[in-house]
Amino acid sequence: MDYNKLIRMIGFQDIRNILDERKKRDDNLFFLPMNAVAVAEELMVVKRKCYFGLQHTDKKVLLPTVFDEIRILFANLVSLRVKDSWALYDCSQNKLISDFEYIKIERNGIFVELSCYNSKGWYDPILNRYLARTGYDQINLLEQQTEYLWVKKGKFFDFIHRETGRLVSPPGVIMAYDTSTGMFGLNEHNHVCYYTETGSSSPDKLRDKIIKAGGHMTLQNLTFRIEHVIDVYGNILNK
Amino acid sequence: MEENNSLRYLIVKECCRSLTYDSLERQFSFPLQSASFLSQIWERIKPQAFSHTPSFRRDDFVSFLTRLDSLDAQYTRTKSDGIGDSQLLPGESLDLTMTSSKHFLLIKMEDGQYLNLDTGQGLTFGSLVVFQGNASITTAEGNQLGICKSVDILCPNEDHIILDRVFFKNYHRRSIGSSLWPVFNHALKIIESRRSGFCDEILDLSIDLGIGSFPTLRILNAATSYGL
Repeated sequence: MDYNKLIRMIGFQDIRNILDERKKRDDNLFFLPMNAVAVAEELMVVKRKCYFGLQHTDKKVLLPTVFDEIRILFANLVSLRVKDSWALYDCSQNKLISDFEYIKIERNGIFVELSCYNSKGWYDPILNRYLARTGYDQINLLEQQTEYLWVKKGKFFDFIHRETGRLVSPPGVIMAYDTSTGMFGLNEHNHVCYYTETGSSSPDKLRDKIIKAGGHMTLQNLTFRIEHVIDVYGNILNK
Repeated sequence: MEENNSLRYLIVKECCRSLTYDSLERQFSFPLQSASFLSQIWERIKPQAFSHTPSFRRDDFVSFLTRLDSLDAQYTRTKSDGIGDSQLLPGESLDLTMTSSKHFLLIKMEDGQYLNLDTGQGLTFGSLVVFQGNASITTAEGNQLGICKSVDILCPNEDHIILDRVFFKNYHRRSIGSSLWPVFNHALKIIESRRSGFCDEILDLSIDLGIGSFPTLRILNAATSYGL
């Protein structure tokens, strides 16, 4: 474990200073045992005096006992707290995924949810990357068989391509639907549109999709419990 | 003054009668209740109307009724750069403006086959036809209608959608039928019978074919022009 490498990744001088102080003290307390307080996913959170560290279940030390809190989120992902700030740490890569810039980091469904004061971000532990780093309030957590994930900020929705992480921001989308392929959204004029990868609406592509569906299409958003049936013009027929 | 959907639904439900054929007027419509009955209805639904839209007044009620009374002639117009038969669904309406300034109002009845909404005549263009500007429009029999200058798609508006919710319940749960000629043929039978009255069987037929009030009314009223 290269603790010095971890420290160098931290951008906040005050947090580095705190951890440096604690590390010096921890080094001097080598004779005190560490007690296991949580075990999950082959990881063990240990405590010495009042600080927490991380070990592999085979006792290999991954992080020294210098943190105010450690939570095991997924097999290789833990969240670390120093004072009121949280960071995300990948044990397998031995690196900080984020700095100590969040007020809360927790597991939410199959993602890691990272909260700032007025927005959220999400990290995908399977694809090992951010879905959205920050700036949103909500993400599609309920329906996972979609080509695109929707994310919501205030009144409006954007889309994230699951495989590539590419963000698509069509203007004025006030409702997004969970569809296996493509991006369908309701605009501010109460019409459902099909959006291309550039974020512009494509009436021709919408028309193709609706014709293939037999003239009407049912669109859902499970999170908001919405079901809309639309026609080839994007009119909602059951509202 | 914009009514919300719940208010529109309430007014249509209370004030419109079901699909009716008037043999004197030779017209299919969803007629309004009688004037005196409408006044009673307004008094009765006023509290509910205010709860949906607090600023809704009698003038707004009358204005909405006026729109409902002319629903068969209403639509939203969308310009098209060109659209082929395979890109159109049965029940979709086109307005072809020709270079001669003549208009052809058509509704697609099945692949390649259209109904002239003004004359009630069927026109066959074939399924490979593309309606677009600067293109000659010719029927499969070789009749030239002229050179097309522009194409507009005529779409239903929100009032049609509310009418559908009241009278064409859940029609959208079915796929649109491959042919809408049964609606036209049934209309002809009703017209030939010269009997005025409700046409519930046409409503049922339209619902089965997955179409709502907008294409239904256009097909029915085209049938009234057939043979004239």
